[in-house]
Amino acid sequence: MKSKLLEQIKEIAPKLLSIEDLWTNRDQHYHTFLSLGFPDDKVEQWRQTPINDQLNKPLYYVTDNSPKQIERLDDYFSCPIENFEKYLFLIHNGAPLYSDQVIFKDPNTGMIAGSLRHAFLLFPDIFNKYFDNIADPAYNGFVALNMSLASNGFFLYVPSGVKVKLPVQLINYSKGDDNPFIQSRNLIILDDNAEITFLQCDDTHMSVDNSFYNILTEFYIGKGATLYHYKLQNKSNNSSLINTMFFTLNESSNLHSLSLTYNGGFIRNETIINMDAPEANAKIYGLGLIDRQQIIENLAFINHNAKNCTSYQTFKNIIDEEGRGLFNGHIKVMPGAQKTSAYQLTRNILLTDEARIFVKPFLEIYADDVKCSHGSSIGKLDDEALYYLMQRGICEKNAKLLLMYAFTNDIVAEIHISDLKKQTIGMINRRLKGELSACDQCILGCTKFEIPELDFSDF
Amino acid sequence: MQDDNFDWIKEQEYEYGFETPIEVEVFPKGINEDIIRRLSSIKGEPDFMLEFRLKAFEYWKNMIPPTWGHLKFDPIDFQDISYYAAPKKLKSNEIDPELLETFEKLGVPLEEREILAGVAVDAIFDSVSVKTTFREELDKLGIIFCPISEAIRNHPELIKKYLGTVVSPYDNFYAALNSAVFSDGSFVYIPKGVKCPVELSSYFRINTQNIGQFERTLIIADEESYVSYLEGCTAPMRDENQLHAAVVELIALDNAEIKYSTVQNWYPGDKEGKGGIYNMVTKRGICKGKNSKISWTQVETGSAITWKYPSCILSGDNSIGEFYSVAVTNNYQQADTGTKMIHIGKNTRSTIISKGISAGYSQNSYRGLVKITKNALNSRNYTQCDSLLLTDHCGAHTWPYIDVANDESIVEHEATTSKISEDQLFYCNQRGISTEEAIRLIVNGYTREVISKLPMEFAVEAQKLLSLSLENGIG
Repeated sequence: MKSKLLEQIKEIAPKLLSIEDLWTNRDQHYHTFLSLGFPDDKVEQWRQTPINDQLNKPLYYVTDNSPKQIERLDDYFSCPIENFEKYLFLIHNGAPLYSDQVIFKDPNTGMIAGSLRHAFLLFPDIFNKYFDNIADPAYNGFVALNMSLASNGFFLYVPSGVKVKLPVQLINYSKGDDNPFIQSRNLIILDDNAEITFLQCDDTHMSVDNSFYNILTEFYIGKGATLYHYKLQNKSNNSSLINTMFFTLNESSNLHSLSLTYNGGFIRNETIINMDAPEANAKIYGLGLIDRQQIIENLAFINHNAKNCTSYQTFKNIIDEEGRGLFNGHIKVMPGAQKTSAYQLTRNILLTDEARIFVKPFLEIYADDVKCSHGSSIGKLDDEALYYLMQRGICEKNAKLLLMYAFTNDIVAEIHISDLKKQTIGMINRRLKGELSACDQCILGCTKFEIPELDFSDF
Repeated sequence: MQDDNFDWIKEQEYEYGFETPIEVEVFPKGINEDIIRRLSSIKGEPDFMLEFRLKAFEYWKNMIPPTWGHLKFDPIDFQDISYYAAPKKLKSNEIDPELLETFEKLGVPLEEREILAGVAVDAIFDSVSVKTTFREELDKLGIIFCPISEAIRNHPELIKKYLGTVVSPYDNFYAALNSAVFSDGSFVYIPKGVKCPVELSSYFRINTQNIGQFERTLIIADEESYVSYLEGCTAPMRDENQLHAAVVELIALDNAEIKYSTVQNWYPGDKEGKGGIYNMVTKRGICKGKNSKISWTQVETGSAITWKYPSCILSGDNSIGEFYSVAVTNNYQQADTGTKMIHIGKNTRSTIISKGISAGYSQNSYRGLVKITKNALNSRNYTQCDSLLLTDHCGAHTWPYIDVANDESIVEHEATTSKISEDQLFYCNQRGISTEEAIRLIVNGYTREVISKLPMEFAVEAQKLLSLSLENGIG
């Protein structure tokens, strides 16, 4: 079946590669894909990943990525965070949706956001400077496939010195029952000293049988620029998502990236950060709540190529039922990257004896004047802490909740948008209680959001 | 400032680099079925052993050398190695005085003085065991301590039962090769309820040019027994690389304990990275019985390439696995070493303490696996692996793998990488301690947790070795 998908791709490729008003180099990347193929468990980084199971599902390659106009974006899909003002952008099965303009340029700030393909056509100067320069097609087959055949996605440009007040929210959504295999490619550019908050949400509609999303995002963070990046993932149990993100960090730039994975059949987030200039800082956080037969994987590769850079990683997972988690952190400090500080921490709680976790916290260091450390722990809820709480009249169920809550707290504390934080607290609370039920739009039913009875937000 | 401080590190000399001029019988280079048959017949082995070897060889022919290690070296030509070399005079049951002198020079007592040292030694020179001391004393307790070739002839039932059960002949490339061509090594059997009163020890020496050393060690600790085993090794200085591919198997039955200590000081190559031993070793122990314990302690200072992962399979309930390691690399040495702890039984515990020190242009990696299977309820692992970097050309890497499949176990892992901080040096300097002395002090403190696990005689040796590896002329 996997070869069936490959056959489909081979059949479609000539047509997609011959699209004229599109960026170049696609042929070259396609050859890279053909030589790499899809990764399998013979490859070290994919050894614990049942990727074949995902690719063996019946899937149909979606070729039409051209933007579609609809009346109101909010009607189509809304994931309301209360009082949350934002610029909203939607991608449906790989095709950007718009109500007014397919690509939008803010007259006041000069910020450009919208369809990637239109950015290529309308803003070639900016586009060509960054596009294809950040991601590495040889990284794996999925990246090469995306770079060769993806023909649309999201584009965001923040000009030099501009601090955008409102967050930009991008929702990647799949709907329909035709087992889509979707590719989408994003390019996010922050020019020197710019600042923005970018929310990337991945959702699927309940009715989707199988879906496979292969998303590639390239981030360029200019000198002194700051990016707050949030990734919220609520996908259905039979969806698959490969989310690969390449970041280039320039001098004194800051990256603050946080991913929250509430639900998803198979989700693999790969974060590759290249710190090419001194004084760059990156903080990466991840929280996964995994149950049923879900598989959630987080991989973070941080390349310290210049001196005086710092990186922090904290990844946490709570794994219930037959869930499987994977964390692979890799800090690489190149020769000459002196005065590097790099920290990596992963903590995991397993709740059943069917749950499983793989952890690979790697350090690869070629410079001596560095401070690098990693820590990892895997375990159950602390019996003594449980006992302490129960002794004080809290029932076992609530005591467990409280402890799991506390466990997630240091990730939630890193959310700097207060409305999002409040919503996240509620979501986690409900998610841990197992109360999240399906609503018509998104499997998490967050539209029925209420303040939960047990509110530990002040802890 | 950095380089000034550490220049002297590069100037150290390898103390054991001499060669013993002795007549040896050497097999022609290359490996094939005839070589294996000839080796087996020289050793007077029973048929089952030859079969074991040939099967392993058949399997090995279709294998490819592993490349996943963080190691860079030219592929080894396995037909360019001679697989057997033995001192000629040995046949007459007399030890060449030249040989005795060699071991004397290496500090390994084979004569009367051994009684004072209190260590029973099995000395292995190239492919054969030269002498095993203390035999009579041990016989009285029922302890079998002899060269493995002798055990194959005299105790075939034990060999049949245990050889290849922990490290299968098909386990990996080098284990398969070893299974096909191993020539000697030590065999230890501790009977039920016996606590071995002396330290058992084997000393490995590669002397002849162009040979590979393939020794095999098998230690069986029967119920309620205890043994502490030490291993040391050296080789002459040569420009060519030599291969050492050993297999060590430990078996601990109910309530038994095995303590295995290694001080590995093979020739590491010269300052330009020329020559040195390729040390490709498979070491694995199984805690078969309940409440059993296996403890690995290693001080790795030699070898151009080290590829070695002493592991524990904790299959008995309540069993304990330990791994304490100090790995020092200097000049162009490369080490990829660590451990595997496979938890299968309930309430199993393991501890991993690994300390890496890299200097010069060397690369030092820790690679480890902690696997908690579904039924290993209430298991516990603690891992700490620290790296110390002494120059800005070297590398220190950590590759831990953790795989947990039940909710009642706790696994913790910690690692740090840093250099000796200028504050620490400054503090010592300020108190009148020279930089050289200060580094020694800090390295001593850093490795102490591991060195303290070594038996006393070895601890002194190891301390000395560490000083030698990192210092210049401190007497």
